[in-house]
Amino acid sequence: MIVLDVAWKDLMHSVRSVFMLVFALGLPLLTAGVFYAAFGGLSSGENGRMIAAPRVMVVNLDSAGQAGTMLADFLIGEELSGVLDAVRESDPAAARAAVDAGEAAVAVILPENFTASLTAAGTGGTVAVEIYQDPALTVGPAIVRSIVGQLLDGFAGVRVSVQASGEALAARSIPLDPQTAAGIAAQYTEWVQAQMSSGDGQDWLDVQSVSGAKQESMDTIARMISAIMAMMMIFYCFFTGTAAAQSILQEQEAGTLPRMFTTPARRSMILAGKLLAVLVTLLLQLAILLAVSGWAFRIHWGNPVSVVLGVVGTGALSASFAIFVTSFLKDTKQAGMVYGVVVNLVGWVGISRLFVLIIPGLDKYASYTDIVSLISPQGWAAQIWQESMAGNPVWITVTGMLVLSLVLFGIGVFKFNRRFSE
Amino acid sequence: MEQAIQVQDLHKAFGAIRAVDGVGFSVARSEIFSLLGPNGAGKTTIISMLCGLLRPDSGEAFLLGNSILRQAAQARAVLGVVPQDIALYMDLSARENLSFWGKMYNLRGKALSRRIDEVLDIIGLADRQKERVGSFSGGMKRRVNIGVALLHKPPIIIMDEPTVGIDPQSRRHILDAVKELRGQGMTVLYTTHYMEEAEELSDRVAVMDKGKIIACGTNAELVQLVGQDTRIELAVNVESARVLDAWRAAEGVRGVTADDGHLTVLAGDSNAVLPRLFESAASRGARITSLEIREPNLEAVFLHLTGRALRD
Repeated sequence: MIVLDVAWKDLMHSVRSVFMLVFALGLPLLTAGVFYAAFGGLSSGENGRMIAAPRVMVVNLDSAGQAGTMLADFLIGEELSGVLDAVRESDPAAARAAVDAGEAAVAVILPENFTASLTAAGTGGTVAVEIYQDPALTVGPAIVRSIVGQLLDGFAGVRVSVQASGEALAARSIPLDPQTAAGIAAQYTEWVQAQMSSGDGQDWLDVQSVSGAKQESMDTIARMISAIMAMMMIFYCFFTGTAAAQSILQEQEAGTLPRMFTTPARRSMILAGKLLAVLVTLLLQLAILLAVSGWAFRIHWGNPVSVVLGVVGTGALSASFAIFVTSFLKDTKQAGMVYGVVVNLVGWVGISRLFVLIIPGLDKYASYTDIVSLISPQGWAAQIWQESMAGNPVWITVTGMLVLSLVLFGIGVFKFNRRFSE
Repeated sequence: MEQAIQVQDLHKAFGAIRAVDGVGFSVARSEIFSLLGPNGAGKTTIISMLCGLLRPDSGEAFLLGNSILRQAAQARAVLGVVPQDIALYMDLSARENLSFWGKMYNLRGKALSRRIDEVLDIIGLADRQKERVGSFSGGMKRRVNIGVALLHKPPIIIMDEPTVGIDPQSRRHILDAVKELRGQGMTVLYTTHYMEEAEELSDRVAVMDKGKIIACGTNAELVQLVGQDTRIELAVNVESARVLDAWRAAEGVRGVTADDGHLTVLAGDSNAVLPRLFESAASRGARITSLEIREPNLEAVFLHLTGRALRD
């Protein structure tokens, strides 16, 4: 009962503390809100669309060419209406101006020689499609770039077919004249067009080109947001744990902790009560953050059992880590600095395994960070959420977390007992 | 008489400083026993050891027969402790504070609620019970601080300078409450550096200095130590050094101390000594600007035993 009495008193104190409310719930929710605003309406839309369609100005200067017309029509057409809000524009300068003015996210400008470049077999020339984007935006332009890139890959087939035909004719000592090359390109383009307009073609596009790019892009974004939210959740959780555990030092200085020690209650029970209060605060914080981020970003944190184990493991580990760190501190003056340095330092080591996943090019270090991160409690927390989100079993990790929690709490209680028995 | 508190040769050092150096005393049931001494004398260290907050380097103490070393939990259960500093939760109301601390002494339910009502009456804060303690005056906080120690009706109450820094009205309330506790059969161990409080409250007083008890007994017994000297407190309009040596040499004067322009003269017969002091001052161009005569008290005892005033 003493454990519950102490925990309840601490929770009452937390509920009445503006600092704790802001720190434990206000700031995480505010941060989630900032992400929500930054990634604009990720949870809205129909048919599972995850992001608002970016406004795209399509300028086709290759109006005489078949490939340019087909690409422009496709970007503006029905197939991509759920992904892009594309409109036709004849003047490249006007399209760029619309982007500069923030009226559009991207301008796609197909050059005058777009079709000709595709059919210029063996020239090695390049097809320069200009994608003019608002530098402040990331997601919308990335989607457009990805879709256009995938389509261009398809059109590259024109060039390949012309080149292959040229080589085959050359082997028979027959020169490939421009009219024949244009004919081959036209036939290939017609075939592509036929594929795009037929039912099969739509599948082809969806699978190999447009929809594939969309899904990949969305998956990348979702993975990034999931990793960011997991990192944020772990960081806040450990900071909140230390902030709550600081009440031990505050009570020591206020004289209420020594006074508790003059009662018949055992010290370990009193400290367990304080740990329980920290734990409940953290579980509440985790539950709210998981729910809000799940709703706002449609993050799938894992199956319910894994999520519960993840919450328990993360809460227990951050609470006991907080007690452990606090047991080394003399007073609240030390606490601010030490908490900041230790939790940040250990925290970054721990979440490095998630960090490398969201920074392009760093994922090659994942095998190292997966090991190194486990020297910190935050690393274990990051691992369990990675496993849970990936649908992998979390039993081993949660067992490790609970064992580590017991060790850290045991050391903390031992040190506190020694401190107050001198 | 059965002893409620027995302290045997307690020692506690912090580094090179001997905070408590071989202290021993005993307190009978229903007795108010005061530890009187200046700041740093070792009073709070003794109390911290009795409460289990500090472990003695050596020595032993018993609370109602329970060893503070071997039966610590039982010893703490018979104690109510009023710490020197206010140890309450400022963001909780008076009633919420009492409720929490009552639970720490294993009081629950209706019994706790009834006892809280009784304690609120004792400390005179029944009508303010729902207000946050943080909004209380210093005196009111002190009263709640005492109330916490009374919740479980402990047979022994330890009060560590409970009247420091409070208004006269609250101080009077606390002193009356302490007497009332003795009337209810509680044993009170009281520490103070206010001589008047020790004199008013205590059945017996232990005078402490530098970690040791230098005298112990009833008021009358302690005063006997300095004989029946009267204390004459004076101020002069010149530097005290000008008259100090002459007054020390005056017939009938047993001692003179100077403190911040104030002089204290110990004399057997004030009627005989006072004219000599006036005469001596006048002959040195000094004029006595204030004068107060005090009958022998604990302050004089401390001065006699240590050569210093209690407030030094």
